[in-house]
Amino acid sequence: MTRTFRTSMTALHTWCGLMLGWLLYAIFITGTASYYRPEITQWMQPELRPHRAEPAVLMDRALNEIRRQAPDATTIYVRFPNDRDAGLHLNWQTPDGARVVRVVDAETARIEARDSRGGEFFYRFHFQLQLPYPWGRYIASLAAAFMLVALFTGIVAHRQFFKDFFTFRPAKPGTRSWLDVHNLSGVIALPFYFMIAYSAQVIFVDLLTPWARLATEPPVVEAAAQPVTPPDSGAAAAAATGAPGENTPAVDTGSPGIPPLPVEAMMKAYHDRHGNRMLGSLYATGLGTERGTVTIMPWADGKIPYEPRNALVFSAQDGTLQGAPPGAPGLFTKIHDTFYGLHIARFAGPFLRGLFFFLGLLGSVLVGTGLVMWTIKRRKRHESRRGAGKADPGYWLVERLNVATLVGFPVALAAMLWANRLLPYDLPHRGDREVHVVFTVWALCFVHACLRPARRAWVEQLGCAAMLFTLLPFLDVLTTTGFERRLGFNLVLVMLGGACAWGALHLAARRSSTRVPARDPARDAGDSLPSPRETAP
Amino acid sequence: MKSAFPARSPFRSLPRFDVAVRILTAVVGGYILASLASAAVALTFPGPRAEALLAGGMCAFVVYPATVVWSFLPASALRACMGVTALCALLAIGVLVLRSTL
Repeated sequence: MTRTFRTSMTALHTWCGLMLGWLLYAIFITGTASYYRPEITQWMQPELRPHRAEPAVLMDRALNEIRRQAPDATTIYVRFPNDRDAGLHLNWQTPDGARVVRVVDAETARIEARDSRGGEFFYRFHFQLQLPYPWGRYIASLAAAFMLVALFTGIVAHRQFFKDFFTFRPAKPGTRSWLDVHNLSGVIALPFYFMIAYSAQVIFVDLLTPWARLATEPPVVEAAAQPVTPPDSGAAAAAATGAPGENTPAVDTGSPGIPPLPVEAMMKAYHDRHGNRMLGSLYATGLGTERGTVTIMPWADGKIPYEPRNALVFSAQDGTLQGAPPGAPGLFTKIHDTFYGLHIARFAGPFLRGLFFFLGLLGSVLVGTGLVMWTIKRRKRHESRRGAGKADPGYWLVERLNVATLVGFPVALAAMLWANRLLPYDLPHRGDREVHVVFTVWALCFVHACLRPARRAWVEQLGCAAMLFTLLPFLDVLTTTGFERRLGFNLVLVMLGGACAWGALHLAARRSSTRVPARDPARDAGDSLPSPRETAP
Repeated sequence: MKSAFPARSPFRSLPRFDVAVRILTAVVGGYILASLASAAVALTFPGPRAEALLAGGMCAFVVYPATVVWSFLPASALRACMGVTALCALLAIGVLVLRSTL
């Protein structure tokens, strides 16, 4: 065969898809869920009730509670509640290196939520893959880079999609309808995919290419201290300074009984700059030393660019504002902030957020259908070879991994929500156990997929997912109060369950209707034989 | 897409060595080229350093996928590898020269 541009690109498309498809799928699913991170947390920590309070009141409440529990904390991180997130997140670290994470209600700061990662698990898995720093970020970024390649080569490989755009043949057997779904989900949201894949890397720009920084480092070693950058849950810090955020133990060594933070002075400066704007987070480090700083971030203001530069940095000793007020950002800073903001979509209101969620789901469908097509395209050859006694382990593995990831991963996530309600309330390391449930169930799904015939495995796991998702709202009603606060989330769970049920029934029906003819080799071959148009170059 | 799939995939007709060289060129060569490009852009950028770093980094994220695509284009894998290597060498020299003028 002559190697043309298009055949090379098609081969590359297939190769990238197969190498990174499963990983991308898991990243897409958790990333899509992360658009509703606070809502997931709300569901998983139903003890927390929404409460509105002035910024200064919340600040006092949070810091007093940390002081009451750990007067010698040298590093403090507080995330304040907002319209969507009811919890007051208190994290601190003591000189002996112990890290404590508490999520309490905003009204009293005393009612503690059950130990659960909540939406944080989805968010963290999305870019850290539950791996030690920084490997998860590297692998996720590599997946993003290859997603760009897959998108470009996909356009070349499926260039007929402009013609096929209005073609959807759900009733047509074989590859055709899968291809239609693949193309359709690809075309509809193409700009979104490019934006997501590119911005994913832009967020970790310094982690991925520190070489620009290293090459432009002035030859004389700088003696000045690096300014402290506020971590927005770790991600921004890593992006801005290359600091690992949450995963690094702080190196501060302070003495016990550290003087209280100069709240009044800080809040006055905050009020001067941001008025009554909701608080985002507070990050205090090096407390008890002369270099201790406090960084206060306001809550996002509905603008697209994500601007860590809105942060105010204070001296922890006397509350004096440090650093010059930020000047107007340059062009590339603006581009960076805009990509960052677009990726995390904190600016989005309910409608836009729903749209992003839908586009994320479409992305999962795009990756999923691509993976399924790989097996369908090869099924005929595989069956004939198996008939001749030559099994193809590669095909077998792809088929199993498809079931275990495309359906097994959502099953595992649903199982986590079940564990959240069913595990004993005061089980030690409860939050960690929930995460263990995800990986245990995922592994079980893989084992199940290996033991069952492929079609049965699809139907059974889809059925399992349908049951798990659909029954979750009932479990919610039975085990906790305040169902009405989580109505939307429960509705989405039922819809996801419904989609899985539809898939299971659809597959089961097709199976029973083709069972008899499937024994007829001629008919079987005709099923997966490409139409004449498909074989045209 | 259809014609290039299963039985007659171009990968199937190529020796394993060829594919391995392309993958190595794409994944590793691509990263080296992208890094050098980011450094070169940052060193030549007329403006504040913070801006230069972002410009370099964001440029690298275009260079990397482009290099991956490039690695799979030429008829011979070795030619792809040599092309990427030559460009890397050129950029490396450029970066070293620019760096010495800092």
